Amino acid sequence: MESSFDKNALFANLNDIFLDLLPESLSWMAYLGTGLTIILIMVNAVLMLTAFGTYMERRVLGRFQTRLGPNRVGPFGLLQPLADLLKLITKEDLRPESADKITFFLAPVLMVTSMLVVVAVVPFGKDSFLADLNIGVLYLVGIPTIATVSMFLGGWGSGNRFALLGAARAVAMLISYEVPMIVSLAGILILAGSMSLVDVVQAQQIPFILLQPIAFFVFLVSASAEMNRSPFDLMEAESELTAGFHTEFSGMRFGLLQLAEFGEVVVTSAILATLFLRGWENPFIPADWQQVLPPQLWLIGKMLFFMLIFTWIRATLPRMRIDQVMAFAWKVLFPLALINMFVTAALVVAWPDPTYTQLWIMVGVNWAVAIGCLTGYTLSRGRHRQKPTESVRLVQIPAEVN
Amino acid sequence: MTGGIEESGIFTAIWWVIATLTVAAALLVVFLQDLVKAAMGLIGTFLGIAGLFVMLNAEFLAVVQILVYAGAVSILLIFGIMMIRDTQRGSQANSLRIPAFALGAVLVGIITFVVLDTQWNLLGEAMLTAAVQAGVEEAFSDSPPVLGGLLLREFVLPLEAAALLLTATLVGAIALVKGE
Repeated sequence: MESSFDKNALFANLNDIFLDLLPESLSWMAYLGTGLTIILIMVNAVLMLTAFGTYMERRVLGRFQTRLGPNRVGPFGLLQPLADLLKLITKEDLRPESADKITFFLAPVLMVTSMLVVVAVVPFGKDSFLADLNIGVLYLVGIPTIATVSMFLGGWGSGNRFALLGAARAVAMLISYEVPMIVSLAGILILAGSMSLVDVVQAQQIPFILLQPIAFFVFLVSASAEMNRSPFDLMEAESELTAGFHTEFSGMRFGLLQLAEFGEVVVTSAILATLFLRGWENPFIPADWQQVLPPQLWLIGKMLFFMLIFTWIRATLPRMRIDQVMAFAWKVLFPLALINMFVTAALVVAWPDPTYTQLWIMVGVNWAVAIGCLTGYTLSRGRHRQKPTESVRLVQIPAEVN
Repeated sequence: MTGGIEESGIFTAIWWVIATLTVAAALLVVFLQDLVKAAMGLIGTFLGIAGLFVMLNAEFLAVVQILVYAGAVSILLIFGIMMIRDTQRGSQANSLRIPAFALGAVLVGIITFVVLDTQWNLLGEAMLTAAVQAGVEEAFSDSPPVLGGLLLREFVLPLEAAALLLTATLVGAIALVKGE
């Protein structure tokens, strides 16, 4: 924990301010005060971005579906999140009789917590982060698993069969998608040589989105599965399960669940920006663009970009079937992630300390592998798909018709 | 190192809070009759142990503890519990409770004895040279490379054996489910 003080100028300065304010006997409170102040800033930044994210998502979805979206409250409808919040708070908070009190209470709280806690390791700039853990990348994928548990607790605690079915589906899917997600990050770790997110950002001479196209694809898909968003939202498939695990939640509990869901979009966008688009640095290769924006704004801009992409995916793709989803995780994404890991490891063994030119050769090799995998998969799917059209013909045409 | 924090006893206070919560959750696992709630207690215990790992500067172990135990093992456990019909009163005391208590008491005794009897301070003041201290601090400040190096150099045979065992288990599970 001392490492934050050593590495982070923001921490050190705030700590000095608190030390000046406090009497000698209470100097230990400076540490608490510093930590709590930065936590307050971080959490509020994420919550404000989440509120804006809901507005942006609804407006952009409206564009996609040729309607207007919310535009009544405030200028351009910008105050819509506030109106939503007021509505949710004033609604009656129902708890079904068959629900389990403790789990029903715990589930939304745990979900929001596990979403917010992840922000701790996201660096918003060279000197503005909460903690630079030496296992940062593992932390990013490890902590959200608590959301899975809380989802199950919510589904089970509701005492509703639709909710339990939705939760069981969600958990099976989430556990499957964690595997390709973690393995896809291995390539990045091999290239960066460290699990600290600050080091990962600084290791990106070329953005990892170019160096690791397969990892980016696998991570993007698994992350949108982890967030239960549109192509993978079968845990709340309205036509089959009413609303999945949050069927019975109402009022602000439902609000918290929605907050966790949208907040995860914001947090995942931050993770994607940090891991693949050089985090707080400028996304372009010429370094003199650095001064155009302050680092925090670079990161937030990239987060908005990824949030837009997630909305786009949601608006474009229809929901998948559960067997398709599971097969996709184990038969496509997981092998892809493994191939990526092996190719990257081989390249790093060949050039342990790559020069700039060698990095561009790596980019070429990785893209060739990515395109090769894509072509191979498409060809194999094409062969596979021809079979059922011949065998599943329900009505045999009698010979005499011809 | 900022000395004021170390000496203020705030870490000791946090340690006591986490330790008490962990033991309380573990007691819930034993005493609750409702299986699902007992499983929740178990998740609490896993999280508490992760917290203790963090207090010991072992962040890697802490996150792996959460990822594997709190995230995956507990979910599988809950799935298993869902297959059982009577979960409300599933964990009742039976005739084995006295031998179980005796065995548990013996285990607690052995662990207490080991904890008290072990000479924890292996590196005395004399052995704590600057080089040793630098090595220890490096291992603490950046443990994943140290762990990885140990796993893939000195303990590569046990690692591969474990991998083989896990693969065999997976294949066996698939063979059992297919039923052929």
